[in-house]
Amino acid sequence: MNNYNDHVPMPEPDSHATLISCPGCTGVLSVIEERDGAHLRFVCSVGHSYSLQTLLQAKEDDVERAFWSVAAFLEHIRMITGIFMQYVDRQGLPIDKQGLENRRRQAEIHGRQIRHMIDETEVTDMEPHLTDERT
Amino acid sequence: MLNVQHIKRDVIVIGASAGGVEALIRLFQGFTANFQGIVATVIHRSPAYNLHLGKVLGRNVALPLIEPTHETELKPGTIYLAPRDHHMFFTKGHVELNRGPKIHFTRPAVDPLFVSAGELFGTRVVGVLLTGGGDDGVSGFISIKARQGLAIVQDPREAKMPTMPLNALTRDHVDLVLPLSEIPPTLERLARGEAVETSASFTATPQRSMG
Repeated sequence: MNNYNDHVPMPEPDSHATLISCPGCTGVLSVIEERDGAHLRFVCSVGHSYSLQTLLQAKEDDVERAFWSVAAFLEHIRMITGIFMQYVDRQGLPIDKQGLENRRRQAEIHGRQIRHMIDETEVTDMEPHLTDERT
Repeated sequence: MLNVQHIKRDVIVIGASAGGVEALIRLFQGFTANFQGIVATVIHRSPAYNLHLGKVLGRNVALPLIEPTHETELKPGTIYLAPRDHHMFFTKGHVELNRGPKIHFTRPAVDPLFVSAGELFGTRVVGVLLTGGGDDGVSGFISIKARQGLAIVQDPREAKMPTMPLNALTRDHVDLVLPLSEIPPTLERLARGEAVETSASFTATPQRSMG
């Protein structure tokens, strides 16, 4: 029978746990300083691995995905409150339509604000800058 | 013959993906300094790395090549390269940029540029799809063709990655299939309103069995 520890990857001796989650599996990332800190490698317990550049890009992707997710939820609220108001009218229900209308407008405004935040985001250029114009 | 109506097709939109840098270098170097068309190009690229792509693609090219900012004015005889992390599309007299939703998992994507070109410039548009994977650009081609524009693909037999041109051939009525070396002179003739031979090198018959 295999030892349980055979299946549990152990952190490398020179690694330090971070407070940052792995973009690939939401596990804990540890950072390893390679070549005396010249290169940082982030690894999680199942082996997802990132440099500073690829980790930043992965987190940028996560942020954008979350923004679009919020934008979609707000759009759904806008649509559902619209349907709800029609439903109240049709059924003659004693429900405050003004409250629904306020929320519909608010969701619309917030949705625009989220899209504006996405549009305004400037992802950092992570390429080393060349100083030699010949290249 | 193609373009027997002698329409000036002077708005060129180009899409490329894998293998596209090398293809675009060759294609851009094929334009002459007299060319007065507008050339807008999307190549799939990383959002995080600028890669000096504008400099690389613009080297030894007779036309000015720019990566536009939002609302850059359109000028004839200019190559516009979509900057990283932004969709690029045409509005009246301008190039616009935005960080809209990724299309086919990519931004910039080819389709928004092609669709906007078709909608704004109609018969003046020639769409060109080069080497690449996936099927970005196919919807754009369909939109261009629906407005009587023209569609050209790089000959898949010479493309580093033939999937993108093949998908276009499969799903739309492509007008010309050309090797890279023949694309710039053909575009220049079309921009002057000349008719061009259609019997070049490939039968662009849709093969419904694909994708």
